[in-house]
Amino acid sequence: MEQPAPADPVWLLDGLRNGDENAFEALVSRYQQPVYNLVYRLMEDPSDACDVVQEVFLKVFRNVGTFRGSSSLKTWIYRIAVNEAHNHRRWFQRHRKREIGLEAEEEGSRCYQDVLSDPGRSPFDLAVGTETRAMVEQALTEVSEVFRPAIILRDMEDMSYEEVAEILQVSIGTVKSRILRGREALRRTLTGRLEPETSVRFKPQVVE
Amino acid sequence: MAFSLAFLSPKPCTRLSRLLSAYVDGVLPNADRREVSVHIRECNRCKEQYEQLEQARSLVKRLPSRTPPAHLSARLQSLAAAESARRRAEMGKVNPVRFAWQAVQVRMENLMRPLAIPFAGGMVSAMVLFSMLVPTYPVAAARTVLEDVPTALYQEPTVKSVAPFAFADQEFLVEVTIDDQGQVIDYTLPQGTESEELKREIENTLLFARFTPALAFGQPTAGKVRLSFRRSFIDVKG
Repeated sequence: MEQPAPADPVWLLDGLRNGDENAFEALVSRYQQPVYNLVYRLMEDPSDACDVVQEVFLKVFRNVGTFRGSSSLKTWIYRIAVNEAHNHRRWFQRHRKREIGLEAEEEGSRCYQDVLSDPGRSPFDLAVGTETRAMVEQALTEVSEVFRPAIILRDMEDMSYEEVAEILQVSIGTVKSRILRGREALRRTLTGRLEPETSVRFKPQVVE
Repeated sequence: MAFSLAFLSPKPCTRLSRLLSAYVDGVLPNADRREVSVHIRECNRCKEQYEQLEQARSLVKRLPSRTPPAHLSARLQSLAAAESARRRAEMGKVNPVRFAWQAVQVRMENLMRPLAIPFAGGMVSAMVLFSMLVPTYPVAAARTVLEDVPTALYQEPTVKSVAPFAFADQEFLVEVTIDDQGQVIDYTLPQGTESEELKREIENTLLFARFTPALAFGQPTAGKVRLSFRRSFIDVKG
């Protein structure tokens, strides 16, 4: 979103194919934030997000030679990210590996806390209380994992329905329905928790 | 009016509420959009739902994007450096082959270039010489052609000459076997005879007769010839 001026995609792609180090670094600096954000929101356990993001970039680097440019580089990278997150979640569900490894210490300087102490806070942080934000984030994690990617891509990454469809490899109709149902679920969760005195108003309709 | 609205409301609400999400995103076709915007002005329930959806959307939209922790950024940068180097190395692998091929081409060219003019000159002079010398050879072949025999056929042996001896008055046949030297090996009388006289006459005749041997594929071989003797002349049958 607030990325610096986007590098020329043709230059970027050429550089990636030719192994230009500048292009590789430009790709990282351009996409690490959105990819990390996306993966973070899709994971059950955000402390794994760092590993997954690394996997995503590794895949991008290794496979950029086979990327044909039928889709844009952006949607291609996002697609890899969504798939990686999905695979990791499945893998994790199969091997319940949650012991506290040594990794957890190093890894989990918890990406989460890093962000909370992030000095570059958006105006929204200042306007709305931290607890509201935490509640929204919590509500978002409760949205079914089928609908969540669509919601995040649409609302956080500001993608068009077409782009979302391309990333998730589904039809536009499916995207519409996923966004509808995801947002509906979010609405219900939030309405229950967020300032109940204003949202939930049972005002009897009086027939006059 | 309120009554009629309350009566009608369930129907359009269920249908239109499904469009609210797309309405929030502003991706509805014009007709639907107008219908929804009219409806949410009139129906409180849908209006509330719309507002909540809009709120949910803007809350998510304004969630701060997660910033990757410093150690991840550092790791990604080093990954980028390593992978770009790997890619360059991979591409470099292709080059030695091409390079070697080019080296071979250059060497061949250097090797051949000094040879090219002598070779071409030699070739041309050889052709000139050859074309000059060929007419000076008399065509020896022409003479042999006259005596040529078809090689792929069997040629019957033939009689060159027969001794001019007289015979007894009757007429008879002799079958003579001739070897590949043109010599008589044997003879038979297909009609048969008892006469010693006649036999001696025949043997005398054959003794002084000369034959050409049979030819098979141009090579002399043994063969048989039938001679028919008559009183005044000799008739030869193949």
